[in-house]
Amino acid sequence: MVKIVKPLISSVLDEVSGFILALLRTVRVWFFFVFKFLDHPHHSEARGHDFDNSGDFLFLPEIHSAKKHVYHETVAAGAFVTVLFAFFIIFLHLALNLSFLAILSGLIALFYFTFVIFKLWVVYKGSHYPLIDFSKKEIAELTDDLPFYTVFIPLLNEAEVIPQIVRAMKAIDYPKEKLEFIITLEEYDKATHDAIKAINPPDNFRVLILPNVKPKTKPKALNVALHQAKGEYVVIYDAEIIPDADQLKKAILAFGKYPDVGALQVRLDHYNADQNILTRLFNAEFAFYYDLFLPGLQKLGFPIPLSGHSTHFRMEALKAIGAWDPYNVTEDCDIGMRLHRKGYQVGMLNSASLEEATSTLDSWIPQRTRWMKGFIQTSIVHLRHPFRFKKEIGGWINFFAFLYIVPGTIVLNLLNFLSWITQFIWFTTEAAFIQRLYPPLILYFSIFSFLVGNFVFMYMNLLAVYRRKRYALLKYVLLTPLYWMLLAVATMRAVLQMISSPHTWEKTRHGSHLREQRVLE
Amino acid sequence: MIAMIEKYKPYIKYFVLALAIFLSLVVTALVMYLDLANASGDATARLNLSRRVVDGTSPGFSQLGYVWLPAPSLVMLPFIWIDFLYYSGFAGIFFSMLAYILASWFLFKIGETLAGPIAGGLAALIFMLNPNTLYMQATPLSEMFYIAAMLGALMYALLWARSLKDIYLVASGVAFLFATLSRYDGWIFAIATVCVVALYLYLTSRDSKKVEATIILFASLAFLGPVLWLTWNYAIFDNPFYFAVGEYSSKGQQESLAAAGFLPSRGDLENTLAHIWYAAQMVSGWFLIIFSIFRLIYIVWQILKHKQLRYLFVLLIGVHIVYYILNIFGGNAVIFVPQLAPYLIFNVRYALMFVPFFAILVGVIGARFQKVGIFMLVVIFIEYGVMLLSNNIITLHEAVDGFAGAHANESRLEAGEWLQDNYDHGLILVDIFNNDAVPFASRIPFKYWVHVGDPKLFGAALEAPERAVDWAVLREKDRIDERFRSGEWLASEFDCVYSYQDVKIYKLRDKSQRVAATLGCNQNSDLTVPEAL
Repeated sequence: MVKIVKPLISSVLDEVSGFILALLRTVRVWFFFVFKFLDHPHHSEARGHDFDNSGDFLFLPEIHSAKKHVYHETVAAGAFVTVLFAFFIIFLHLALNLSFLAILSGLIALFYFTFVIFKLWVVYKGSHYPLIDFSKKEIAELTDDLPFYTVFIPLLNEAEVIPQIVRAMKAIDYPKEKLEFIITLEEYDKATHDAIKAINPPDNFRVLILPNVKPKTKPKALNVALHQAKGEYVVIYDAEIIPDADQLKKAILAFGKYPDVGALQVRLDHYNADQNILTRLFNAEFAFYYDLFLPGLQKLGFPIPLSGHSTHFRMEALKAIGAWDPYNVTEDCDIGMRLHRKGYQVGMLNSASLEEATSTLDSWIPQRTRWMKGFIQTSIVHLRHPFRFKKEIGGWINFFAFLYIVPGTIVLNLLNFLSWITQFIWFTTEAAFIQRLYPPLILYFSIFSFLVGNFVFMYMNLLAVYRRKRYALLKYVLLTPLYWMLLAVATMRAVLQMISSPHTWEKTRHGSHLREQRVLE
Repeated sequence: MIAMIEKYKPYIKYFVLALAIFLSLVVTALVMYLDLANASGDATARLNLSRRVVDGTSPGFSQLGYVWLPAPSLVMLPFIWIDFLYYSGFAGIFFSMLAYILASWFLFKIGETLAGPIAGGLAALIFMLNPNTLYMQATPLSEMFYIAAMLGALMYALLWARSLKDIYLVASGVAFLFATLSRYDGWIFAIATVCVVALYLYLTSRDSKKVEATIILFASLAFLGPVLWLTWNYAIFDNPFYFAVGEYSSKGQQESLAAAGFLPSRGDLENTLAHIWYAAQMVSGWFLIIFSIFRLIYIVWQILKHKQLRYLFVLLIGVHIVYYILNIFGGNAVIFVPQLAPYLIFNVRYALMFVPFFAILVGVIGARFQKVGIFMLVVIFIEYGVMLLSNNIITLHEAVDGFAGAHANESRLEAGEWLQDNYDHGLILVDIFNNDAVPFASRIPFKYWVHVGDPKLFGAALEAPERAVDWAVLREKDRIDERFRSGEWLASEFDCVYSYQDVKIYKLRDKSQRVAATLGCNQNSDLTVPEAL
């Protein structure tokens, strides 16, 4: 009897446990199907960074790239947030007895308000934070065996500014034998190549013709150039950049003094700030961003969206994070986030690089569209696994800081667009449906957030420009709300381009300040 | 004594702070115990203004329109909805106390910046121990709030002049935001300060671009308050200057006074100056003014001869004297003093704005000539003592016996108390701007009062009171009285149930006439037949 029952019991137990395991597996499969954003690492991460990829020069696992935007993770995370948000709205509707649209108006006003508080807090911290700096004496004493430095100069259709960039690079105070300049060019960019040949640059300048592979972007060019770089440190200078002559030496001192720093961001300024109203407002924006906002982010330990040029990297840090994402049109913002995720600090260096502020709307709009599109891409990429991202970025506070800095900027610009349209309709038609969107308390809060918020943002630009001693510019800063309207238009355009042509890089044309000078002469 | 003062110089700031807190607490407790905090009509009006934002037939921030600037009412909001704090006045008194302490501190810092901690201490003491200052800080009126904001703005402007650091200019601008949103004096003070900042910077730097930029940076904050107020008036009343020309504006009030022959100063400079002089003397005391005049002459000499430009900032507070002279001369404001016809007391408390000016002047000279300083301080304090002991605190007199004081409000207070005992249900029509004391004394929540703050319901009640309200409060020559011809037109539907001096109260005879809810005149859909208290 025992001989019969025991195997029977055993087989039943096996069946049951097998069933339970299968059930659990099925539940797990369905759970991670619905909550795909919790399922990591992604299979593309299995082989790590592939620096030998000469197909599209994407060294990162694809899940960390903007090569493809819509992953299962993205859809799952988006659906989850949407459902959560919908439940929240319904809860507020039942609790406060307000219409859904009125609740949305209130939440928008709250978002504006918290955005203002966030920026004020960051600026407050930034205004007390000294940038990394070194005395002339310390720089002069830097004569010991300096490390090799590589300067990347990615160019496309820049024949006009070649003399300027070569002049600026030759002015850099760094031993020539320890400095190399790698200029990347597309095969078809004969004009720029000829301009370089005509100017006969020194021996430490090298032209690298890029392979004819897509994507045709600046980060792809940088990744191609990475293989050729000999430097222990790397910096990128765009075509129109004029950096401070001692910038590289300051960077070396900073990297030496702060071993945790993986990258250094310098202050950007414009040499043509006085050209017209657009350049003045552009300069005001940069004054705020680089003099008040980024230092504040650094002081608070938040991730920093870097600039596309004049950012200095340790080569080892660059390689540790997989270099640039060739598919991200703001590879600078993306790389700032990835550095932070990998535990690298970003230092703000007290040095300046002058660049050309785009001076025409037909240059400004495409440039700004690209930046906003890149912010959207960066948001999508990093929020594929939001909880993992939160852990890697340094916790909830840093996570929310990222939400404000990157996707928050897009949302704010779009909401501005919506607000102005709503106000325009209200003031012209006094339509009743708009009045219903704003019951009294929400109306007051919205007006307060909008007016005070806009004033605060404009005032911070005023303060930043004043601190840069650009006194002649200050009165133009009062026109900042017009600048935001342009920003809103560019952001709308970016959203549309995300659907139609997400990887298109609208190249900014440089040299208008030179053309204007020639006209005046 | 001088040696002792020198020895304890580093501790003067702590002494100032501690004394300010101590005096504020003790005096406020005494004033509230004697039930004098809300004596003045304007005190209850201030409290009511804030209360109406949270309680009424159409509560909301639109109640803060009309005439008075909103900042003192806004800060009360966290407390005003609590009945005890509202009716005791502490919802507003708390901020006056805080303002008094801050003002004392700012005065100390101003004096210290100009001439060291002894000057600061002297200036702060002269301000703090003034009996009128002490009384006013125990009331919910706006003067102390404004003085604190004004002194804060001046202090930061002075710190900017000393260091040229932009952060001080920004801080001054923020303080001006509070000042310009609490009293109209702040607008003139802001304009004057912008001019002085421009002049100072130009004389020290000779860089006109820098001056232009600095003024933009400063003025955009300093004038933000007026811009917001004009925008608010435009949004609520379709007229950005409604506060100046509207029915309940100061201009409107002055026209009523002129019609009654109560505006002797308008167009008469001598009379204006005499009123200002007497008001200043009663609030600050003879000796403080005399000593200040000597110092003022010395300061002007220092500015002109020695180019000590930072004293320009000290002269700024004197702008308030000029402001009131112009305003009273132009008929836009009025002060009554008992020494001059019509021999009343009204708005003498405006002269409180001059006390910080005199205090700084005397404080600075007292620090420079310390024996003289001690002498002046003793004389001033003796005069303060005399004010106190002879019951000659003019601001307190104004609150109790003044033109808009407790005694003048007696009929309204009595009416309110009568309502407290006899009100049983329904909506009450009242001209709130002339009769703030009635709802306050009645303790009936504002949601039962129909007044101009709810224009639709008020308009409907003026058209057909029997369909809109259950009660009507009329005071001689107020808007309701004039509308209903002193109650003659109400008689068909209402009974006169109360009459005392110039106040009458009418009650609807037949409640079935009341169809206020069906008129759909107010936004509060829950307001049908209000429950009885």
